[in-house]
Amino acid sequence: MFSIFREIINALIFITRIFRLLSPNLLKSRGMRKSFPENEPWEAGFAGHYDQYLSDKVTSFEKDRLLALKKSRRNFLISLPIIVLIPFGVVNIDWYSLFGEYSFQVLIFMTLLAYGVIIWFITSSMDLYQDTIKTEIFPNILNFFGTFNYHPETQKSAGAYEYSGLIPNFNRETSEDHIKGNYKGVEIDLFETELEQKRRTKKSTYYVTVFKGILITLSMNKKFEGKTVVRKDAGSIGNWFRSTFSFGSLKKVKLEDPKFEKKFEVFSDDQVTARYLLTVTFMERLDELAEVFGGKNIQCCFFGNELFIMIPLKKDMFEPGSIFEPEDFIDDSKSLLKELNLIFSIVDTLKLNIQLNL
Amino acid sequence: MEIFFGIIILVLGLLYFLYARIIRNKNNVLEALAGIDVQLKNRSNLIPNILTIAKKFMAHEKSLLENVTKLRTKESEGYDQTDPTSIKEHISAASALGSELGKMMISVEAYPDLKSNETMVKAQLTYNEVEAKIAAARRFYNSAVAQLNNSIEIFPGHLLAKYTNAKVMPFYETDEAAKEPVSADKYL
Repeated sequence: MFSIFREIINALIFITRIFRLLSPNLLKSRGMRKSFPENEPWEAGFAGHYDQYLSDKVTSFEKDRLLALKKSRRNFLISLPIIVLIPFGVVNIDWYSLFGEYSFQVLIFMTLLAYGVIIWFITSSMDLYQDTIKTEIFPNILNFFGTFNYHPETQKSAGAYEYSGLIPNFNRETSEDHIKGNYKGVEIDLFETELEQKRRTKKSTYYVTVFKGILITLSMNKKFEGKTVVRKDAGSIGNWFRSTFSFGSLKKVKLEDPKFEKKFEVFSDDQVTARYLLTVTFMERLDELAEVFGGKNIQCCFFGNELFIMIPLKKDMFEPGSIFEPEDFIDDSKSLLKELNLIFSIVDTLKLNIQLNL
Repeated sequence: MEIFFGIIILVLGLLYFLYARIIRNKNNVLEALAGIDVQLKNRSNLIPNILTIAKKFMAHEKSLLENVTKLRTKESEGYDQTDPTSIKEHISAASALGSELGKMMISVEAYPDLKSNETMVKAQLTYNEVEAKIAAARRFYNSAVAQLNNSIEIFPGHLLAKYTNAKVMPFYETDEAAKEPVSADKYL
């Protein structure tokens, strides 16, 4: 029910966006800001980086932005009569005589196809421009952190983490925004993904999102063997099922922290290693991290000297700013810096960069 | 009659379940104890290297170094894994050694040459790692002991305990000396 409500809101936002193409001020190039305002602690020092790597690209990108909008507006105006005519066709054509008992399915399919093509026709130039921001500007923003690489297309699949036992069964995967780099000596590798499961009813097939968020691997400051999995608590019956059927050789680890035990369940093939990794302080930090990301649904797995973390998020991360605003990369930079600061907070909160055995 | 047999089967089933649980908990304690011994052995193997370097610099700490050697020998002695008294003695020896080693590592701070010695730096890192693993093994052991003790001390577990040869096991507590606050004045 909630997902339908969310889809309706997304559709309304999308329609508003398309109708903004008719704004009379759309193609006017407004005054562009020239310097980056450092308002947040994590933006410190970025103004110089902005001047060096980004400000000289503003003029050409602003030109491209206006061209993309101009093309989209033209395509919208061309499509407008068709958009209006489609409902007339739906009502006035005798679909039953043409397609018999399948007429309803054909009608739905044809209508969706027609609107789909029109939407693509209108938005393709805007999407292309947004993609250019991702491929050409995002890497320049991430250069600020030194060794970070950004690829709009991910080179990994969620399937690569199935060893953790945390990835839910899925039939369709949409992954993007692959970021790799080193922060305070900790190797970070992350991407955004949406995993969907195919469901069937007697009449139709549909997909349900089983996970949406980011998948992160971080190098650990401790060497360890075996596998330790930290899952969200599933209640006593759910936990019993998991320990009996889902994790094979992994045994439940009963830890001392009742607050942690209430939120998480731990399974491991080595009881000592599990406690070596999940010290009392580390448990507190993991709990704190769950709060940073707004809930208790963080799950992780320690394996092969790496820490793999799954963070569910409702919002899309690493997206460019609005195409309807004048281009200056300031919003793009601010949003990317803020999101990366959130990722870095994982290293800082869990203190993965410090070799203290805490 | 059927009800009577039903009750008998139910009681026997319950007794078997409790019996199996005690055996499982007993084996968990043995597994946890073996885990501790593996880590204690790692620490024990590290001590001669630390002492060799420390002796060169810490001439004034002779008694401390001798004590470490003595306690290491005591800790390495064999013990009966099924006898709580023997386990308690073994744990006390390990705890005392841990405490003395801790003191020694703090004393190193007072000897800048030793502190900056490359071999000592590596030995200290390994020592910290081993101590962290001992702490983890201790947590596992204490958790296993708590489960075993609960299962044989709470009714009707205590009636079955003698048939399983399970005994109340001691917890691995850190040495009292280690709990005392350390005065930094001595090392400044």
